[in-house]
Amino acid sequence: MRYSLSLILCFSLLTACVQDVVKIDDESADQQSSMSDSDKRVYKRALEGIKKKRLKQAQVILNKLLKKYPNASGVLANKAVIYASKNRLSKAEEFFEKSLKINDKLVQARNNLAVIYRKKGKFSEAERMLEAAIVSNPYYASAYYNLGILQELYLHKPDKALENYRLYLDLKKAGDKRVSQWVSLLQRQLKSRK
Amino acid sequence: MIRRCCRHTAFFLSVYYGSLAYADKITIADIEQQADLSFLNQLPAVKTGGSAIFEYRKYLQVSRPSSEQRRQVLVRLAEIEVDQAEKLIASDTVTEQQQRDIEQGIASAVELFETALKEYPGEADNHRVLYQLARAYELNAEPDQVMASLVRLVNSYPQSEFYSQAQFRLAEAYFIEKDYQKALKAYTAVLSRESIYADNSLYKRGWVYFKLLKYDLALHDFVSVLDNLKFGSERELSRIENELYADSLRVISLSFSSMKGVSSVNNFFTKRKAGPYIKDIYYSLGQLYLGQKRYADTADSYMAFVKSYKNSEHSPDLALETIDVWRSSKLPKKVIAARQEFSHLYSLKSAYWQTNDIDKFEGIKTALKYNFKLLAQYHHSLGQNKKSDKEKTRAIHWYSEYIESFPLDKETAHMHFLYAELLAELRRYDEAFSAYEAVAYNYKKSEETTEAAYSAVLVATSVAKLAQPKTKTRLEWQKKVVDSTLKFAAAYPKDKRLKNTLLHVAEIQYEQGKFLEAIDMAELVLPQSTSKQKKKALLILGHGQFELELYSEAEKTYLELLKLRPAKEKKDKEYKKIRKRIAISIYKEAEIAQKAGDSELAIRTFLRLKKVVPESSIVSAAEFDAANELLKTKQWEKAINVLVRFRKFYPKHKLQNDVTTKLAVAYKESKQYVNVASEYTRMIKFTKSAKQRRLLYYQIAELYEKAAKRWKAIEAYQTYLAKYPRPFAIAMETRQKVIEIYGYLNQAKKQREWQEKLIAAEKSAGKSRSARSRYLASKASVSLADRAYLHYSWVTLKAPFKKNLKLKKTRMKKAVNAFASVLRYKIAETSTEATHKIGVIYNEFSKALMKSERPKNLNAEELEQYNILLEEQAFPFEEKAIEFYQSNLKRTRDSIYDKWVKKSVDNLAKLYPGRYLREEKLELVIDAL
Repeated sequence: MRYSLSLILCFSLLTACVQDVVKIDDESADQQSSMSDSDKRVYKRALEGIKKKRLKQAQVILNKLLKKYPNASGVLANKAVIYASKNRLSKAEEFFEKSLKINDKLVQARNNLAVIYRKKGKFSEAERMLEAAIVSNPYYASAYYNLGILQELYLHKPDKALENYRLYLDLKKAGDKRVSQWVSLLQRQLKSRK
Repeated sequence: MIRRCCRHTAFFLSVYYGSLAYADKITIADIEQQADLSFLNQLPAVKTGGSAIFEYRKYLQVSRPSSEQRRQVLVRLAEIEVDQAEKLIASDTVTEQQQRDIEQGIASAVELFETALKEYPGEADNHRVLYQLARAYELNAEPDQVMASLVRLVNSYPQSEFYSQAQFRLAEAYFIEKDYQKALKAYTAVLSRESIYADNSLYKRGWVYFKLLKYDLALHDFVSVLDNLKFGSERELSRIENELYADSLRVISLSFSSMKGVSSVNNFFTKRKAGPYIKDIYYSLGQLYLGQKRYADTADSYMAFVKSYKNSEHSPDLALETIDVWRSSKLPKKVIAARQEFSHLYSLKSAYWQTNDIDKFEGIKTALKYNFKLLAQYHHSLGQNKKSDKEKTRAIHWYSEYIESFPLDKETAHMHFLYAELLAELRRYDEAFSAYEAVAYNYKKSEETTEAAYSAVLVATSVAKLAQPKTKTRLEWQKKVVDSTLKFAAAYPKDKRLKNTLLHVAEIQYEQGKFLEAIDMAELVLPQSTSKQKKKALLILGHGQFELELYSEAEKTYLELLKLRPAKEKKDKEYKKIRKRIAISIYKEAEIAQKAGDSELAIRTFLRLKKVVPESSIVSAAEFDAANELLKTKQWEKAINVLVRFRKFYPKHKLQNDVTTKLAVAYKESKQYVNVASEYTRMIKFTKSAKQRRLLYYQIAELYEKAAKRWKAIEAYQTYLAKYPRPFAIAMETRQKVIEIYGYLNQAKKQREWQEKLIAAEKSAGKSRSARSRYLASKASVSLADRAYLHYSWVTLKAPFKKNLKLKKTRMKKAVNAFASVLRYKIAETSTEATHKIGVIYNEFSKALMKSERPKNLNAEELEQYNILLEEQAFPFEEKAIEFYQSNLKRTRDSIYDKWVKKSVDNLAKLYPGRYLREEKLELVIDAL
């Protein structure tokens, strides 16, 4: 996993022009194009609402859109986000999974679902979900970050955690002091073991 | 002389004619006419009468002797004289002159004939002259001369044509003179040749034999006379022939009578073929005897014919005559015997009618009918007077003959009825029944046919009743009762007795299991019936409906019946039986409703039973079933009411245990748990299975718990535990229950006590220990450890510091040990909690040290030193805490991630943030459609 991820990352670094850009897959593009402009505007307002914690209002909008576009994976995923915000983990899990069934390239959804899996103690599922997110989008730094925490604290795989923290740092051009400290700590920890 | 002559002639003729009735018109003149006198025609034509006589006499005076012509004139003249005399004799009145002329004429004729014979003795035809001479003598009343002339004739001229006549005349004369030997000879001579005198001679010879007592020979002659008369042919007999016939019969009868009577007749005709007159022979003989009042001989004669000539058309008549003979005798037994014989012989079934046509015997038919009836009545009367079955049987026979022979007769119905009555008297029920029915339905309706129809039913009823129950005979007779009654009903619908017979039929049909028919019959009787009939009809109707499972109808019928028929006495069995059937009907109605799924109706009906027939033994069953149905339909409260009532009214009923069980269900379903527990307590007493009893004990406790009767629950659980320490698993759960309830009741001490008991029980359980028991023990241990922790947390490190520190340390140790003991159970759920709490204890101790009250007398430096010292003291506890938290965190390897692990992670993040404070990155929104 480590080598494959490194290779992917190297290749990606050479070819990628843009960082932190969420790629919208074909299906999403289809859904987007099929959604009317007015609905797109409405949807955007819902996302704003989520960001501003106006969850109830956002949820109403999303529900309406879902009636119209039941296969809109993004809408489903954002509904899961709202549930997660309310700590309704099972509902969040359900909607993320629905969303991913329609569009398995929604890396943000995979990331958030992995965190829910972790909270519910489903560590292996969380690990697989994050790894899938990375495969789906190797430039998605949060996945490395979250995978590192999972492997360090819950899966007790410090070497793998170390690797993922490093990959995260690789993608974080601006750097992350805290994560760098974790890397140092882990390195020492591993050294002392040896 | 003339008078004498006439008298003599009359006598002669009377004898002649009297004996020769056959020769009615044969006279001397006829004989003469038949004689050959043609020679007279050869004489010269002369005048007759006086002038002729004159002329002939004149000729004789002149005629030459020995000439043939003279002889002719002599004879001719004599004949004329005889003719003239005869004519005068034949006239009505004869004068004296005429008398003298007659006498002179005859004398002249005799002289002339004698002269002719004398002068011409050798003439061949002198037999004629002799014949004429005899004739003349006869007119002159000189019988001896007549006889002499005839003797000369028969002796000298046996070949004469006058021979037979002459012999006959001689025979007759001998017969008159009673010289029977000569007469016999003469008659026999006549009979030796063919002649017109043969028949008369035969007859007369018969008489001769008879006179000579030679009856057999006489009979042969007389029978021959009868044969010759050709009696019975198409030709009718003349009066004289009839007389001859009758006379012959008379002599024949006399002959047989003189012999051995009728046996001689029989014997005689075995040797000789009898003609159609034979019946008259027997009859005549009988008549002869009857004249002599010899009735038995008369009857024997008649009956001898009857027996010898069975198929004769005359036989019935003679048999009938025999009855009259005996009637004359005034011997009634003989009359009856004769009537019986006649009736037997000519019964229409007899062989006689196979060869004879009854329709040609109307008289016999009438006689038969009369005699059949008379004999039947005679024997019937005798049978009844003497009480003799034999006589009755005879009467039956004659009634039967009458009925069979004269089916269309107007009296036959009556005869048939009497016949049936007698059969019934003789207990020949089968025949009596058939006979009654025949009378009832085969004849024109009358009072008697009505009676017969009813009698048929009665006979069948009696026989059916006499027969053993359920035998074939009984069934057959019952069928007859039924069929016959139905016929009776159809034919005589207005008969007053009909309803009772119909009722009886209904009873039979019921007995035979033909309930539908019984019902129909009973319903037929009901309208306009008497009270008694109505009661009976209702009883059958009710029973029939009951058997056909028409319970609702049966109930109504029985109730209607009981309105008419109140209980007669306390031990009125029938009344009780009806009441019982009403109860069963109601019960069955309810069952039917139950099967049909109409629970409400079933319940109402079951409960109705108690109201209608409260004394019934099945009321309890009905009540019980009603309760069952109420339970089935989840009408718990109603079911409870019924069951509680049942318990109260039938305390010793065998279903009481079931009542308890069902009450338990009803209470349970209606959430009356205390009552359920109460029923379970009752159930324990009759529950045979030990396992069941144990479960009941446990359930009782559960129920009290469910009903929030916690103290009762605890008591029940403890009772259970005292009785059933095994099985261990359930005992552990019971302890757990007790612990929990004590907890609910804030009975901490009691709770701890039971927690300790649980832990101890688990510890000593050996191989019975299980994951569950370890879990429960670990939970109890946690609970006990929590209390230790609480005690530990209460201690604050303040002055007196040392004492409090020591106390806190002691309690910390105790609490840590308590939690550590939990870890021994290796139960994930309690282990994470215990681990975490040990971490918390250590962490809190570390914090408590740091927050402990500082000694007040320390200066700043000392205080700093003190703080450093404290920190050094506290740090190892913090390390310990981290260690335990980490230990908990490591459990995630085994996918153990409960709230205690999470709390440990949280605490680690606080105690060691560099290592454990990790916040995951989450997308606040997902920018995708």
